[in-house]
Amino acid sequence: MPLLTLSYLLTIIFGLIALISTILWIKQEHNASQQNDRDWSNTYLNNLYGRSRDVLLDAFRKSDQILAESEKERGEILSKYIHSISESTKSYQEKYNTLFDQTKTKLSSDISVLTDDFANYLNNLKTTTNELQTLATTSIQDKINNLIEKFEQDLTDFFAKTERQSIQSIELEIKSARQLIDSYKQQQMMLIDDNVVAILERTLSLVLTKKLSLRDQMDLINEALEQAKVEKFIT
Amino acid sequence: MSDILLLFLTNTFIYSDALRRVRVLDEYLDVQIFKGNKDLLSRFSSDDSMWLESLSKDFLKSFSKDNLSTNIEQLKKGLQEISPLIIYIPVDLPKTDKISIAQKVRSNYGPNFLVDFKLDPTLIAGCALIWQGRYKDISLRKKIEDQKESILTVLRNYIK
Repeated sequence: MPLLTLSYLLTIIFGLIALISTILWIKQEHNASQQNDRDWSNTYLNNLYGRSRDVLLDAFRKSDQILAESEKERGEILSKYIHSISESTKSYQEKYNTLFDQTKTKLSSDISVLTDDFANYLNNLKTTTNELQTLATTSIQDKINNLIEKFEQDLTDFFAKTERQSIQSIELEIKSARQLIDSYKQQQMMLIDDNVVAILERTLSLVLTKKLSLRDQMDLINEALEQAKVEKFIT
Repeated sequence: MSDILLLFLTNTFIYSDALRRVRVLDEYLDVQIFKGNKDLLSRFSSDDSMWLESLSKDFLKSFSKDNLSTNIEQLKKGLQEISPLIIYIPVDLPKTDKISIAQKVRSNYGPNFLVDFKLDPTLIAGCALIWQGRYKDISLRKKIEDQKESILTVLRNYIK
């Protein structure tokens, strides 16, 4: 077993060495090829530059030619276009003029017709308006007359009603006033009745005290005591 | 009613007089019995002096040192038990007239009957009585009130 692992390890080491050497060789080759490529590209670029410069010069020459040709063609086209425009403008102008004249005559004839129609319409309107005005005036007059009559009637009724109500209320007031007066009179008469007796008592007390003698007073007292005896007040 | 009270009330008809005379009698007998002073009538009013002189000697002899206060208390108690007739009069009558009225009342209702007089000028004439809590108006004022309607009728007829 240690032999297997040693051989295996050796194998790995040799493999790694081979790999590293291969990589180094590839790198070296790559660098060399790069250098070769660089050299080749430089020469190629130089060649390419020369060629492109020639191509460009050629292209400039050709473009100048094309430009000159196009300028020429442009001038030709422009002159053709201007000519065609002037021709078409003239034809349009003529057409417009004829059309304008036609329209003008048609319009003036239409206007005269319309004016006549409008004048007729206005006349009709005027007559209709007059008729309506007279109708409205008469109807308004009638309505006003009716309104005034109705107002007079209502006013008369209202005055009559107010008069009746006023008379009724006045009569009620008079009645209540009479009742108040009567009740007041009765109250005053009752007061007077009470006061008359009180006045009478007071008058008698003042007068009789002076007028009645002691003998008379004694007699009256004895008479009162006799009355009490008869009535058996004292038992 | 004790004899002593009956004798005391012989010449006394008015209740207020009776109350006053008990005090007078007490004073009189007190001085006479305990101090031996016989000349006492001058210190009392003429009315009371006359009454003291009118008392019988037997009545006065019934009082002694031993029973003076007892008898006086008996008299006072007896008077408190008496309910007098209160007479309201419209004018202040003289004493003699009051006594005559009281005598007449006593003649009608018994020997121990007492009256008391009060003044009420509103009665006009006649009198009003109060007996045992009851009031009776027999005055002219009451008669006028009772005849109020007829008086008013007469006045109304007179006004018409």
